[in-house]
Amino acid sequence: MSEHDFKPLTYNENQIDEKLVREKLGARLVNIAYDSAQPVLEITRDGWVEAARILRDTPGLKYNFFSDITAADLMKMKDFDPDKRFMVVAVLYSIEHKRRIRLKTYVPEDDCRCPSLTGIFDGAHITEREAYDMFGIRFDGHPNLKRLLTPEYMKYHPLRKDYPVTGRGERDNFPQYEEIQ
Amino acid sequence: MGLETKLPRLTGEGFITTKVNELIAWGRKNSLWPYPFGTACCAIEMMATLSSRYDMARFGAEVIRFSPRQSDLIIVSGRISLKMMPVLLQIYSQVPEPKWVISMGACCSTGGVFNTYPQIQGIDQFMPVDVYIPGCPPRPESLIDALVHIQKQIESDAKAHKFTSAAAN
Ligand code: SF4
Repeated sequence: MSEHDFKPLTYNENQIDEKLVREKLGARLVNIAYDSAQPVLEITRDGWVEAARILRDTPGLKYNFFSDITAADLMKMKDFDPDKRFMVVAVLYSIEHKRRIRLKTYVPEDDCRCPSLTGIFDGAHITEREAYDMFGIRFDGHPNLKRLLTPEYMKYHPLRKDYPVTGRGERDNFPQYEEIQ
Repeated sequence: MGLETKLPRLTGEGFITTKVNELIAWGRKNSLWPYPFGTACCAIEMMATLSSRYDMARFGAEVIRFSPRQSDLIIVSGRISLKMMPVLLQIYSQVPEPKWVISMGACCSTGGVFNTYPQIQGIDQFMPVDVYIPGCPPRPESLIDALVHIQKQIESDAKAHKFTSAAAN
């Protein structure tokens, strides 16, 4: 098998050095799980930025490529807990070791904030704006947190589960075209 | 107006008679200048219609203008979203009279399969539309048929002494 042959992604390729990760992240790490051949690290909200910095800079981990940050609204889940309403998910990749990792943290309903990763990864600028637009999660420390896709006058965050899929009348609310005589 | 059918009889006489408004309408209907407002997959089909295989030029509508001020027919093809509707309204108001609108495809005529918050459920709620084309996407023949409908409308409007499009009436 030459190095150019296609190899499907396996569990082993993404595997992390659990001992090193636990040692470096310390109390910031809640647990490590695996999902679809990807390790998922649950991080506390306060340690979110520092954990990303450690994962980026530690030799042997070097997760230095930022793929994406997004969120999920868990409101309709069976065991819904208002303190864990939103889940913020970041996906990092290590160019050096060719490994991928997923970080997640929970954001409560009544304090809808999360620290921003913009100080560590420049790619977080636009993706955090999108997550803010869709879910209304405020990313503290983001220099330009404005809506990205929906119009500025929108009052709601459309991917929240309590927002109806057909909207609240925004789409029917335009001025009729009038002929100028 | 059927001018071309009268041409053989011209030999020997050297003149024909018509009405000025019908002559103008004849000129208009055979040189429509479309503005392509393509926002989604229907626009691909519109491009196919405009290019050599289906060739809308055969019907006199080959001059595609990307400025509303130089065109008189808007082909709205694709989904119109919350953010696009004000743009479409502004562009429509910039087209000089007389002007016509083709609403191409299920999405911009009715919202199509997208019964969601950003999707306008039919652009005719907010602006006049002359011809709707059903389909997802409509075939190029349908678009050509719509163009012929517009041409017939221009001709019959002139006969009925209407100088402007349905918008002004
Ligand atoms: S009608 Fe169909 S082809 Fe046309 S824009 Fe909508 S989804 Fe696309």
